[in-house]
Amino acid sequence: MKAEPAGEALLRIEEATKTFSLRQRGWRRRHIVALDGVSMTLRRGETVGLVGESGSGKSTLGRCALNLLRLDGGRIVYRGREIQALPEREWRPLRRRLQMVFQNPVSSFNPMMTIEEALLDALRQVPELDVSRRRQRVGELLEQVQLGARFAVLYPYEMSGGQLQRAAIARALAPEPDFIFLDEPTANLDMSIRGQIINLLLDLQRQEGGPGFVFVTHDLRVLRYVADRIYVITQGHIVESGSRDQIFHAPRHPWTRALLEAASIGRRERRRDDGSDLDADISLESSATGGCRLLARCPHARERCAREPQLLREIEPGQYVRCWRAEEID
Amino acid sequence: MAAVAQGIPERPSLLQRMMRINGALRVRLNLGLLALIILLGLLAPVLPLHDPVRPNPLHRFKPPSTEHPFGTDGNGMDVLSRTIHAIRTDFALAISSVALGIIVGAPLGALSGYFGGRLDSVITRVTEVFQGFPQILFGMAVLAAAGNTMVNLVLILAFYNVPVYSKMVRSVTLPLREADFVQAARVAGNSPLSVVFRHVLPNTLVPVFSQLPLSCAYAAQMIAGLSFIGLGVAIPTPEWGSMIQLGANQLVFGKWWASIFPGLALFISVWLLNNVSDLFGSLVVRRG
Repeated sequence: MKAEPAGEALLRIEEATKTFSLRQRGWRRRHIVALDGVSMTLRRGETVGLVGESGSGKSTLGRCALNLLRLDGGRIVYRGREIQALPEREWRPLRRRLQMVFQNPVSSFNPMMTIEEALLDALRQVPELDVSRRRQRVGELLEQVQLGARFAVLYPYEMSGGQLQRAAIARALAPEPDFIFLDEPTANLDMSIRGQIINLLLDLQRQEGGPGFVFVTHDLRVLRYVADRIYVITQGHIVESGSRDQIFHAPRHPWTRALLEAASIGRRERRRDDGSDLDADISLESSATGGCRLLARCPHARERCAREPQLLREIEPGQYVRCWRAEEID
Repeated sequence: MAAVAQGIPERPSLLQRMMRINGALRVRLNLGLLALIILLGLLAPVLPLHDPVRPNPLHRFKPPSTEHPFGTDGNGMDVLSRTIHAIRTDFALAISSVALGIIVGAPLGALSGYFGGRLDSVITRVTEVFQGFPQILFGMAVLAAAGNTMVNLVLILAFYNVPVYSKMVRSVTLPLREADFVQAARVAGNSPLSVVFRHVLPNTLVPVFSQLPLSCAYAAQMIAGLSFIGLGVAIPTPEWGSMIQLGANQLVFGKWWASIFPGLALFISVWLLNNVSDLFGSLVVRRG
């Protein structure tokens, strides 16, 4: 169906770290490690899934890659050029190339602007279009995301979440980017609308010369249809990455397996204490030891897990796992 | 959506939307009366009134009659004509000073709130110093030193509106800085200044507009107050504050008309402006 992505690495994120420090009452501060040595490679035109629970750092990664947040450490390399430390002025030309769709479609539109104005705002980045061509382009973009041109005159509060998310995708497509980060684009939508947005993305993927996507989600099931490659992230760490087939058919890391199990069993027969997989929620204190971060909750834990931090290892071509027992457990 | 399907629909204007909200009668009454007052002021030169500035020594302090419905004042000038002509003076001064305050204050507040840091500290401290001066005293000092002109009066009043609006806009800007649509505007390639002026500032104007009539009411009071103590607008020009002052001496002798009518006009205008301000406020709540 889709060709195996073999394009060059367009965007590389290397050892990205980001810590938020929250001021608590008085002088005390609490530090939250959102990204801890995250590396990721994006190739031209491919769709990469980034899956993790809330608070795992997946949205932070997207925001850092788009320079909405500054990394504390690590590098972001775009077409061979380091861009993580560029000042805003030099970064701006790159905005055209890297776009984003936000989780909440309603709040991601300026309430004082019509959809047309919002799209024209994004099209100002395309200097080769003159003003009359831009207006025409607005209509084309709305058609491309299966909204009619009649939506152009509407204000955001006059549209539904699904319609707005299409408009948001149109806005991201406007400057003809290389990559679009989709930050949980379906999380705020009804089940029925969710499918429509997924189908729209599948359509866009099929178009020649279209952008690549980074699909950030907490829901693995969605990725089965859209992703070429998948990264699994938890507690600011990538624990497993590989092609869609590797992740869905031969997952190696206990955390990935637990996620898959949770997704496939679904609501039908989830039992509270079957002891076979990881707990559903993250406890912050488990990351305090020097060893594997999932130690306290892993049914396969051995003494060695507590002693040494786990590194990503390539166990199959293209499949990386952060677990030394990956081959043994089954 | 049926109307939409047939083609691009007409958008109702802001005025139409305001008319449609609940309590429409109250809105209509207040806005209508206010509009009537302003209309009266605008039409003053063509209405069949006495000349507001022509003194008549033979007709001093005449009580209300058919010839002079509101009577005449100490200079023998027609109080009705002066009260109506004063609408022009007071509203023009109030509106222009408030507008000037917003034009300067709102962008300052948005810049200060969005960029934060040193710029924010400087702007905030400076505006706080402005607000530290006692108002009437400061007004008196400036008018005494720089001359008793209308331009100076407008500048003084604007000076007091700048901090009000810069603080208000700043406080609304702070949470907007992290708003999704502001982040989206950055992703869409807007420069920081363009984010502030095209995306942040327009979204802070709703509370500004609900405050506007209140500021106008306050400015009208200030103008009248300064004029009452002999500063502000000089005597022959029709203005409520100076008219009240002129008539006040005769109030105790039962010659009430020279002060009461301009006083009522001031009271009604300020009251209506306050009401409209409240209604704007409730309009904001409804939309949010």
